[in-house]
Amino acid sequence: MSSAPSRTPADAGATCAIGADLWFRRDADGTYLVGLTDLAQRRAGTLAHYRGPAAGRLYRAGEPAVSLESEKWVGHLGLPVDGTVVATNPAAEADPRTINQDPYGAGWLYRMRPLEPGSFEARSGAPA
Amino acid sequence: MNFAAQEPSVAREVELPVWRLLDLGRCEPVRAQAFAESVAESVAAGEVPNTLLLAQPASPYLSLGFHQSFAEEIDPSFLERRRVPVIRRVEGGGTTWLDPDQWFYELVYRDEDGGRGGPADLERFLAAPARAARDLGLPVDLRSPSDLVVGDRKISGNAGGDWADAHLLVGGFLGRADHGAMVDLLRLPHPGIRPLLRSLIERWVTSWETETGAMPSWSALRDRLVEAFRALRLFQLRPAPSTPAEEARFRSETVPRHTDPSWRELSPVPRSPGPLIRRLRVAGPHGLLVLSGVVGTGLSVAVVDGPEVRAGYVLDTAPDALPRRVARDSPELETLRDAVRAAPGFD
Repeated sequence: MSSAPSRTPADAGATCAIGADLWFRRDADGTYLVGLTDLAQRRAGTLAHYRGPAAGRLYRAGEPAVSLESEKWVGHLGLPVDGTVVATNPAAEADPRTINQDPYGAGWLYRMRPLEPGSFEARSGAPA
Repeated sequence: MNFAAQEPSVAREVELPVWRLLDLGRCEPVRAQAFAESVAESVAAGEVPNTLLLAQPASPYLSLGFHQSFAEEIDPSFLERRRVPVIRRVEGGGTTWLDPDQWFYELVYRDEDGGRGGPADLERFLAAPARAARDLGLPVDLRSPSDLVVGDRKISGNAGGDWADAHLLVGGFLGRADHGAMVDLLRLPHPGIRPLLRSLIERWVTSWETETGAMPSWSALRDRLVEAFRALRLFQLRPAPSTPAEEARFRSETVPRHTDPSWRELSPVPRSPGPLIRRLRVAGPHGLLVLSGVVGTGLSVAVVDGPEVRAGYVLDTAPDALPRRVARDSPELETLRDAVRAAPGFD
């Protein structure tokens, strides 16, 4: 049986969204998986390009790190909190339509380790 | 004169937010292309109003879309011959040839003030340049999401991006189209692709000169553009110069960024696995897809209109061999169609 793409943050085990555009999920190793919400991917339209942040690099919150392009419009996004990027999703970079098709599953954007523990939760208002 | 009829529009005009009209005139390529990035920082900080820039490049150059690969896109021998700069813009779209026979309009605005950013803003604002062209006698329409066309041929390309917490929309009219440069600048995986691409560009890209036999004066077009943007009734326009802070930031940040090889040659994003090795969009839904190992073991080309394959070609390994057209309704063409269905096309 094939599983349908997940459509809500809860499907990905996400604890919360940051604003309307990003969701995150804290994993047992203290890293956070970050993705685009279904609302944000719908608003963007079919994505043609995704360039993720550089793995291993420390970014400051808001510093341009991610770019997404649809219909000739490029959005440059910063990370929500200070931290080091652990991985960028190679499947989403290779075929950005994965983000449209499965935003809370195979279409995650990047994994990062925040500089300050609890900073994700503080940003979203969720309990740490 | 009917003063009563004028009062409501005068009242509305007063309530509209004031945007700055910044006419850069004829200027060096990096200023024509990228001064808007410096403006974006001032707009985002609230130091200046939202801004409409107008510009004309004083000399030719190439502009890469933000996600384009310098190494894959640009033919190094073309750069050697023509000695033109390459500027990676922060907005989207493909590689473009820009020269003094083109005229630019660029909008820089904060979130909510003029739009929320994203493709919907293209449609909203492009009504103005379309109207300006029509006012000058050229029947231009918007082909969603981002092209202005005369009939079915593109005369204006447009793109957008978010930068420094502001939105940027950039576009321009082709006064004269240098079809040769548009083709020759591209690095292609086989020389047989060049004539196919040239025929498509000649079919789908037009210019003011082609349509009317002459180019309008920049001052006439500039005046019509300003009037047409005012006629959107979204903002007032007041001419004002750039600020010392914008000029200083342009010199200390924007120009160094655009002359830094690491920005120009940003490493390419990994390509999807599969037979598609190159997408060459010509205009709107029209373009070429280059595939490997689909028909035979070498390269093949699909001429596409959106998801539809209009024709197929097989490229011989001999570099001087002409492309062989695949027969209509042949199994080879069906094989090519199957491969294109699985690849991202030009919607």
